Parts: sequence; C-alpha cells; structure tokens
Amino acid sequence: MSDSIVAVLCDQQCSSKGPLQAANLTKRLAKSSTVGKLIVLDKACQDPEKKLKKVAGQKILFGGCPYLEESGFYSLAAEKLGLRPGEMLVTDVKSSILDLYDSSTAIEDNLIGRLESLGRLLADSAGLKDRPVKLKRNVLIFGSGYSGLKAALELSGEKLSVDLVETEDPPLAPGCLAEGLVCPGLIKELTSEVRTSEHVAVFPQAQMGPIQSVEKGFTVSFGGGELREYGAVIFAPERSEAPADQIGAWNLTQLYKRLHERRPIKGRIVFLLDRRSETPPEVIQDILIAAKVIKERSHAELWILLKQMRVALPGLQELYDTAREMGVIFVKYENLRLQNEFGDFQITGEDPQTGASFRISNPDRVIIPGTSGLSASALNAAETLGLRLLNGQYTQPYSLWRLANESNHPGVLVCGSARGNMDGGGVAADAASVVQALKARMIPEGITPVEHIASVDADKCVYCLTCVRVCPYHAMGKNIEERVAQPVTTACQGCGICAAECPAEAIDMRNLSRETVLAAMQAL
Amino acid sequence: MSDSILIVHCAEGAKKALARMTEEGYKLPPRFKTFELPCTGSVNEVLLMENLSNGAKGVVVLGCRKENCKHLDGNLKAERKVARVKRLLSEAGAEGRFVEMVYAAPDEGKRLHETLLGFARAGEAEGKS
Repeated sequence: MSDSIVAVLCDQQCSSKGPLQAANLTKRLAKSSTVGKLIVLDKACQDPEKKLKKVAGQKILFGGCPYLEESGFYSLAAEKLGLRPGEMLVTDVKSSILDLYDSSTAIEDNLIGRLESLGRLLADSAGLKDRPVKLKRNVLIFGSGYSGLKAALELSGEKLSVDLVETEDPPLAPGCLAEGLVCPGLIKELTSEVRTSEHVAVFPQAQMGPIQSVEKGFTVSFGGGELREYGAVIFAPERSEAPADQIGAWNLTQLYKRLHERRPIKGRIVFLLDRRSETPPEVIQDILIAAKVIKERSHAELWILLKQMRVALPGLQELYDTAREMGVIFVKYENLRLQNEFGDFQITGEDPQTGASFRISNPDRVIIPGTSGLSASALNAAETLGLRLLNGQYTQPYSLWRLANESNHPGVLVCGSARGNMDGGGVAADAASVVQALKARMIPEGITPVEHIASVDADKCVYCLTCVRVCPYHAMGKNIEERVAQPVTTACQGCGICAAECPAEAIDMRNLSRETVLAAMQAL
Repeated sequence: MSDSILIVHCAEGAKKALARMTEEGYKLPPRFKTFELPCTGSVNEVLLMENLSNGAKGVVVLGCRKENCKHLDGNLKAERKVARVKRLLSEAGAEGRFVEMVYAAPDEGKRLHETLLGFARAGEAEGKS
C-alpha cells in the first residue's frame, strides 16, 4: 500500500530469546499492507555503513536488538540517509518487553503488531495531527521516582508550570533497583534539584484530592485548597513487587531495601530465578549488581539458580563474568524441588546439560523475584484517571517501545518502569521521549480540538451503561452515587456511537443532536 | 427530497473514498445527496427511518472498510442497525425504499461509484415494474 515505507529488520539472532523466528516474521511482515518493502539486514551492527547502502526510501522503520542503538546504528542511519525526525521509527526486538507473552506466536503477533502500528504512524503522519486535543501549558506529574523527577527537570526548562506529586514511599533508586547501590545519591540529588527549581511545585500524595476530568484538562486540589488546572498528566507511578510465593523467602524489594540500609546479609544465599516465568534481563542485571555488592560487603555464599542465561542487555555478559570471578555459583536447573523435611530445608535439582544433580542444604535465605505490577496507590490514581490497564501494567501490545505511550486519555502519558522492565538508562530515555511528545502536543498550530463531545442528560439516563460498554475510547464513566453515566470529556473523541446506541436517548453530542442532524439532512 | 438517495458517510475513510471518486472524475447524479457524520456508528434506526419517511428513496450508509474503522467498530455497529431497518422495511412491505450498508476504502473511487449507481438503477427498475 505505501511504497515509501521500508521496514528494515535486523537478522542478527543474538538475543537470548534465541532466534526470534526471523524467517516467520519476515514472511508475515512481507504480507502486511502497511509496509511497502521489507529489507532484512544480516548483522546490521557490523559494518553498518555498508549495510545502510542497501536501504533507500523516504520513510524507514527499523526493528533490531538493543545493541543496534548501542553501536550508534540508528544515528548513523539518520545521518547517512538524511532522515528527519518522524521519517524514521525504531522498535526493539527486545526480549524483556515480550516477556508478557509465553508462546512464540504471541511474541510474533506482538512484534508484528508493533511494527505495523509504527508503519501506520509513518504512513498517516497527517492523520495524527487532528487527533490530539490542545493541551494547556501546565503539567501534573504523578510519581517522584526516577522517571517522574527526570520528566519534571526536562519540563522545567521549558517555562511550563509543573506540579509534582511525591509518592508516599519515595523510591530508593531508578525504579527501586539495585542500580541505586552503584549511584546511591542519585535520587536524593534529583529530588533536591526538583525542589529548588522555581518552575516545579511539589505536593505530597497524601494531600492530593481526586483527579477530576474537565473539558480539555484535569483539575486536582491539594490539601483541600483551590483547584489546580492541568492540560496534561505524566503518569510515572511506582512499580511494586508482589511477595515471594515461598514462605520465608524474600523478594527483590526486600533484598534491595536491606542493601540500601546497609544491613548485613550473611550465610548461604540462594537466588531462584525463572521459577514461574522467565526473569527479564533487566532484573538479572539488578540481581548481578546486588550479588556484587553482597560479595563486596561480606563473605556470603551466593548461589544463582536459573534455567537460562540471558545476555540481551549491554554489559550483562561482563556482569556475569565479574560475578563468577567473585565466587558466585551459577547453576542451570531442571526439575527443581524445594523440600522441608525434619527441619531441614533442601533444594534439589538437575543440571540439564550435564545431567548431574545438585543439592543445597539449609540456605540462610532464598530470594525469589516476585511478579511486579503497580503499587496500590498507583492503581488508585490510575482508577481516578480512568486509565486502562493490561495485565496490571501499561505494557500494552501496541504501546510502542521508544515512543511516548499515550493512555486512552489524550493528555495523559504513561512514563517509566510502569510500562515494563527498564534499566535506569531506559527510564531516562522514556522520560525524555514523553516530554518531547508533550511539548509537541502543546504547540497550538495545526491542532484541531474535538468538535463534538458527548453530554448526558441526567434526567433521561436510566444507568443501563450501554454507553460505557460501546465507547471505543473508554471515555464514558459512571457516577455511582447519582447513578448516571458521566462522559470523560478529555477522552471523548466525538464519534457519536454512544448517542446512537443509548436506548433512552439521554446522550447528546454537541452540535450533533438528532434534531440538528435531521434538519440538516432535510435541508439538503 | 423525494426520490433522492441519501449517502450518510463517516468523516474518515468513507469521506476520503468519496473525495477520491470525485477526483477520479466519477460523478454522481444530482439525486444523490451526501451527509457527513463523525462515524457511521452514530447512525441509528430512528435516523434512517425518519429519512425514509421524509420521502427519501433510499439511504446508503457509507463506512470505512471492515476492521478499518477509526473508532474501532463503528461501521459494524452501523451494519447491524442497517440490517434491522432492512428487516423492518421488508416486514412493513415498504417497496421501493431501501437502506444499504457500503464499505469503501479511500482508494476505491471507481468501485464505490459503480456500487452507488447500482443502487440507483435497482431503484429505477423496481419503480418501473
């Protein structure tokens, strides 16, 4: 359909996920109507200048592993091919974002979906312009973690008024990860920088009232004070980890907290990875950093049990090597059993490669990464904002890695590790891209606000919630106390589907009521 | 408005298809009137019936191609309503009046033109017999 879009897929199958069925992907992407031409570059990161010569086209869509960016491939491509922003889009064929999905077809579907959405964005860049509503130049940032603080600092230079809500339990490090152990003062420094900035006002979460959606914006009052208006919300909530499923075991948060507090960790420590599902490389990176810190501080005996060693992150291989040199014992396992007999706690299993069995007796501490999701306060805030979640988080299949992730509300952007496992660098990049997207939305030119907005006649509404079910944008909310449907005006896209479906004829579209439409039709 | 055929189209793909049709030089007879709505999903039975009872020969609901609706499935919702009105018309024995659902992509100017003219011809044939 669009000949101008060239999809370029890197075929270097070095991801720890194993071959991502590049052949299958190629076949399926070639059939896609969004992509005009498909080029597969074998090992794109090696001798990129030569490889780039194969690629010619007006708009280019790249798919590759994180190493491609590391090696400067994309910036080289932009320079060599003379591509302006918006003429090149990039997605990672990265295992961590695919970890939500178990089967390989789901992974393929997800990847194809993302590539196709990117293709559509490229093809229809004109169509994108009329969607966003004009945003007022004040921004609310929910979350005082690394991504929230980064976004606040990026925005404060833009002469915008920024309000930052500090979450109750301030995170220790980028994404509350072990990376903070390497740069302990980072969050503190950023926090003090944000607090001293004259463009940023900081409020504690405890004072925050409910977020009200008003036309073209949101209002919140803090501590019962006056309503503050916002054009946009950056939602950068904390992730929190569920408790480990084994009694007595720690999850990673518990471990990192202890490490941050410099409390001693001694004896025989066993990390049990890949237990329910594969542990993402970002998490492994954290664990290895934590292991290094534990080894530096004490003479603990560290075991890391895993099913597969994943190296799909820059620098991860080196971390494995360092950990091994420091005496960390890595064991690949199969048929793992946890036994508790006569007061003796045993972990037994087999090494799938050698077939040899191993046994760890009476470990002092077992650490099992829990499944991570949003914290309770973040979930509450998400509900107030009417955000749609998938699998308890925001890594939606079509949420585009490296592109700002707009929620189902125009003007609400989700940012940071709430979108999935990211390392500190990833979080910083995400915050920057969200800020870029917001700034673009705030340019008044070329943006047409939605003309028709649904309004509900409370007297006619019978609270059957047909509108809530049919709205494609989840823009119809419920007023439970008064038992009427209540449109979320910022999310309404004015399609009129709710008005047509409403059996009580209680919904009126502005400038589009049935009388107006019929009169106009008669006048033809 | 008697004898006219009203085309209710959405502001997305169908609008582009109509524009493309005109661009390609295919013209519709003057009895065709067009009316734009944000999405064909905002059409309902009352709107269709009112138009027919006001004297329109037929109403064509023109939406985006299936699975291409900007508003997810507005065109499919419209199709269901059109089907319902069709059934009502046949039950009421309202001969010579019709409602139809048509899907068009922005590059289908010629096909759209042929389909629309087909409705007009079918209407005429019915009128004569």
